[in-house]
Amino acid sequence: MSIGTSPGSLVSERLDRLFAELPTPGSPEYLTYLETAEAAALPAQVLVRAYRVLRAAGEEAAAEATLARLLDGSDPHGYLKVIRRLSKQQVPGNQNWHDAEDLFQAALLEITKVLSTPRGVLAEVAWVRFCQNCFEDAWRAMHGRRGERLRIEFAEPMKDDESDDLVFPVEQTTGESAPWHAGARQSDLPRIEKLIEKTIASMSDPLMRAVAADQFSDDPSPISSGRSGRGKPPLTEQLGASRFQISRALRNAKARLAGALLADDELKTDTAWLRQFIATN
Amino acid sequence: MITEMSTAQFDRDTLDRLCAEVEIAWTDRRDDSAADRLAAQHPEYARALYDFFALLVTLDVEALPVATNVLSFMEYLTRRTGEKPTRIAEKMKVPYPLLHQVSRYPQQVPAPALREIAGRAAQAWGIDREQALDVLEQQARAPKAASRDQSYADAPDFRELLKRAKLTKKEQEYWLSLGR
Repeated sequence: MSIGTSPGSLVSERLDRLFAELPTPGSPEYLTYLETAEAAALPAQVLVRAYRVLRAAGEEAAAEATLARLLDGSDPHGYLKVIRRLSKQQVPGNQNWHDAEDLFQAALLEITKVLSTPRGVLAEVAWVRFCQNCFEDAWRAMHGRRGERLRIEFAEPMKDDESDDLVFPVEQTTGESAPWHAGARQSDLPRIEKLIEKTIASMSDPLMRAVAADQFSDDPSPISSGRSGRGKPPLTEQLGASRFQISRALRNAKARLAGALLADDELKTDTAWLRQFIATN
Repeated sequence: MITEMSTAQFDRDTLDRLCAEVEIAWTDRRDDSAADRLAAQHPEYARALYDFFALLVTLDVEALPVATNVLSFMEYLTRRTGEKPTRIAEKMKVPYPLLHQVSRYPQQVPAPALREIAGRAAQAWGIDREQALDVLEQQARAPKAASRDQSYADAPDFRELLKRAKLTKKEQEYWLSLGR
């Protein structure tokens, strides 16, 4: 498949079907549907497509009603969870001049600006990616391309008062092996172990694959100092990568494994454990 | 933070299209292999694609139904550090009784004070600040306080929490000032 062409040429059969099942955009039935439909029947991408159709047709009232459902700040349908998450994640610490809510609002404004332009076509098929782009643009508008407008100093590494090591909070990883036993039924363990092995083997990024293979083994290495139980040196030394690179690779490897677990219908993974697993890095 | 934003160095149209393929595969078919496949075809975008897939999965995992038994902040800290609560508080430079009260009634604590607590946990124990804050906020949203049977309805306010923690006047003023 060629790349670099309009994302609008991407096809989602599910979204096409849901759009085809909509009452005619702009009709009274459509407006009722906007108020009553569950999010599963009316995902963000379908709303965006309807909105763009309505705008192009000059049906402003129906377009506004569509936008109102999509961008309702209280987010009853969960369309904006990606913006909420990114806002919380990317709000700079050690400053008080703005907070996550400001970032959230700025991103919503950016979405509103872009949605009816040619760039908005991406949102018809890839809402999360579109939101991520709008969030990044809003973030840069506030902070500068590389954060140069931030009126703060970034956190310096702290000295650990026990070991005298420098601690980089953002780069800390647990170095723990995945406690699969806590999140799965005993009878599922052989299947899970095979799934893990297969998933790690399929990772295309060599660093991520190496970090995952080590961290989900019986003898995970420490990240940056010390030795493993069986004497392996830290990953920074083994792989020649920084702690930040290893942390990022581990975070993505965990998400990749979580994705494999979620995608396997026959496995029943404890959701509380899964949330904690993916959040811990 | 800035590193997370560094995907701008790539051609955005190309990355958009690749990410869109990953997103459609995941949301339509629960196909978790699209990131691997596209990363193999376009190794220069591999890490950005895996970052994006991690975001998709994290959003889905966070949307899973929350168990009613929410982990308290103190339980979270003890699990993460393997240390006793008093030692955890000491290294965070937070009086232990205050940490106990915050862990018990996070919904009564102003957001800036919660951020301060999460930040100190991050600095002292190398825990991700946002993750710590997530735990506090998740607990605050739960219908019942962790480790308790009662609802939050009759919980003490923040000023009362500070008194219960037996902080000095100066310490109380400091924590109250964060919430103003």
